[in-house]
Amino acid sequence: MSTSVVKESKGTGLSLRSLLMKSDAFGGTALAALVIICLVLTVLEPQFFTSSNLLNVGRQAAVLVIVSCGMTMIILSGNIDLSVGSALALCAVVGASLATAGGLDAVSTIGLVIALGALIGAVKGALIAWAGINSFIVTLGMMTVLRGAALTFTGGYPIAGVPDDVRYLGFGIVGGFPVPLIVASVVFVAVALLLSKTVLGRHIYAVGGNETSSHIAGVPVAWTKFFTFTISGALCGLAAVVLLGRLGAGLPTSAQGLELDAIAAVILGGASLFGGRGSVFGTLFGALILAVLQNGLNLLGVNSFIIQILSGTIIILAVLLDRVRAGSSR
Amino acid sequence: MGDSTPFVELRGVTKRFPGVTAARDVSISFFRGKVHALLGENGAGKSTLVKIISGIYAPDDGQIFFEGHPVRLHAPVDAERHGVAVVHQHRTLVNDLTVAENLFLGQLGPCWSVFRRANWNSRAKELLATVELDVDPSTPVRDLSPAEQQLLEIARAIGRNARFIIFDEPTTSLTPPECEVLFAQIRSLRERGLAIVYISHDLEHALALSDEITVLRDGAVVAHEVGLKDVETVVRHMIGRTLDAGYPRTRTASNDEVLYVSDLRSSRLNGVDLQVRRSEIVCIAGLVGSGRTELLRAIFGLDRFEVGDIRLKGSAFTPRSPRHSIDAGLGFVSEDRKQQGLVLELGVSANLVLGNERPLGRLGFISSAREKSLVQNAIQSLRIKASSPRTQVGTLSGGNQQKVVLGRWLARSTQLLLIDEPTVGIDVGARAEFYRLLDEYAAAGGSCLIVSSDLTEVLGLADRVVVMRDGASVAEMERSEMNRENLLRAMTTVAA
Repeated sequence: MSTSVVKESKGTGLSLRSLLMKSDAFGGTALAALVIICLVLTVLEPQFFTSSNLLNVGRQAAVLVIVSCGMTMIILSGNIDLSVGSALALCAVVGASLATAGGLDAVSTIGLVIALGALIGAVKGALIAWAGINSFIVTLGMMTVLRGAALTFTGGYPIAGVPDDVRYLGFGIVGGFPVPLIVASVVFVAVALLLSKTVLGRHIYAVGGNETSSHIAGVPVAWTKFFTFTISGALCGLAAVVLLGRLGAGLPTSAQGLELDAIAAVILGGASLFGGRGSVFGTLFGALILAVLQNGLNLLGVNSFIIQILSGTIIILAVLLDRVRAGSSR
Repeated sequence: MGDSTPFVELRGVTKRFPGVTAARDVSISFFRGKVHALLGENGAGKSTLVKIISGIYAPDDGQIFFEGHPVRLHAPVDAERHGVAVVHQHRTLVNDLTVAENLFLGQLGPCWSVFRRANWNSRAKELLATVELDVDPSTPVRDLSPAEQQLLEIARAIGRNARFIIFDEPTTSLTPPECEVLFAQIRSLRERGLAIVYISHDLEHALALSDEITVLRDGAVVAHEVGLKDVETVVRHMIGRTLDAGYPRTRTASNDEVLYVSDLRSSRLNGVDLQVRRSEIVCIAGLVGSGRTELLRAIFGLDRFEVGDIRLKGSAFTPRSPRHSIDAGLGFVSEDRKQQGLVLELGVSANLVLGNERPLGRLGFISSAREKSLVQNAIQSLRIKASSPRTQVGTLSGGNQQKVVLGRWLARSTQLLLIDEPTVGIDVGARAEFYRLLDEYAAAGGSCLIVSSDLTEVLGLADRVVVMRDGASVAEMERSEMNRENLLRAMTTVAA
């Protein structure tokens, strides 16, 4: 009698696990975690689940979502980028300078900032793809180089007075919706389509899964890496425009630690740090978890130092869960 | 303790996994001083039994006896304590450590004790002598040949007082002479009274070496025989039916030259000349290290060569990269399909079209309808067994994985396939199918250049054989001149 009970409970445990494994392709674990966190916050703090607060979360999360979508592509391809925060800061101060001292109109400013982001990404991509330097090393170096460049460019001071039309993507509102939220949504859909429907997306998964096999099969491995970093770089430029709009000024010290948040969002979303496995859906949920936690704990009046401790703990717990899942599939 | 008590006995052992019973009521006895061959197709349950005996899996039902006593193994250390050692097909040595360090890894004492190199090295020498392995104990393991590494693993097992050694596909990467050395060692272990389990796809060797055999199919024991030496009978047991003629031959080689290689030289190649004609299968025979793989890699553009001419269909060809070679009509099937063929995380479908997505769509987007129809075609014509086109390719059997790699090239208009060890680690039934596919491909106008260590396979497949030695092509034989002795002589002797 007792053995049959044990067996039954074992059976449901297995099916729960297999359910988790199947849903993981779409970031199921992260979605479940997000829902649970939202429920708890709603119960604890009535102000949390109001449209004004949720739109606020969206506005705050926009930069992270945009950068994390690019980071998803990079991590799926088996690489990493530690320099997105610095790249974003450089793009932001250059953009602020173009719009103020340079006197450029909004469209050219935004276009040039995105182009600068793409150029930075292309340089990183070229070093990784053709010079064959490990992406960790290239982007670790670039992290300092770009931050230093941003500080040098402004002499360490913020560039204020960015005109409103340049700020539109980060500050505007359309039909009650914050524009940054719309920008982030468009980026998310575009990256999701790119990864699932295009040749480049397929190649990103293949190169991250097994570079040698891909090379032998005729996949243009170097170009795949190059495009991955270039596109991710352009997204950094776009994120810089959004951030510039929100802050109204270009700060050389902005977006510090953003690379770690972006990597955390991707990993929370169930992607493998070694490439080849994961999805941008998971990343979206991962980024929202980080944003919701920050916002909710703020509302609850939790000390911001404590929030850091909690966010970090959640990341480790999520990866622990991932390991348990990987262990069960072996 | 005479021969009457088995050293290890399995009684009614059953192991279930979700959806499959990997071992079904298995009872086998293994005796001291005997070599017991465990035979069966991939997935027949051999590895499951090995894992049960070595303490990695716990059986769901049944019992294990060591020297007559029932034993429960909770972890691999328990099995090791009872004297069980496994020499794996995938070697478990640490490449960057020395021979001596590998021999005593895990027995070096507590982590704060001082490592006395000279001391361990002299102990290592004694152990190495027992397997007649003549290497310096301070050599890093990566400098050893596969055969030497295998002997080192045996020495390590002896050093741990193993009394029961399981050999799991030990000859996969060994050349015929190296196999002989290994077999001599196994026989001497038997003389010393160890119980040996021998698992191999190479039935001829397994039968020659073993005192008794057990054949498994679908997790159950289907035959147990003592002193059997007849391959045909074993194959019948293994697949439950007689095998059709193994090497179909519906192709007729034409005179059109597809590949012409002249005096190819690189750091690993020492002058190779050969030709492949349309609808012809040419095999390259040679020892491991004779430059066979390097030749294929150079032709495919994976490695550079310094001197030499390659012509494809009469026009000069200098391979620059795989992509460039593929566009010129070449395809390459590596001997290591998991590391150099497939992307294991991706599905069957994505692997079948890998590198060939562009024609399936427009403006960089893949048309899923066109992908689906191409993939359905490939799955049907190659008879790939997968529950769906999205099934992760890593979960398929070796034979089906190899068909996916082959299918990728057949879906492109590949005119010349370079194949390295086509059937390594593939079971008998799937091999026959693979040979049929190659013949069909050649009959339809394709050509193959195949490297194989399996002489039976070379003799069965090849229309012509080129023998390589020390990086150079040293002999060429038409089908009428091919036999085992001629090949072996050409592969091993220094200039006739």
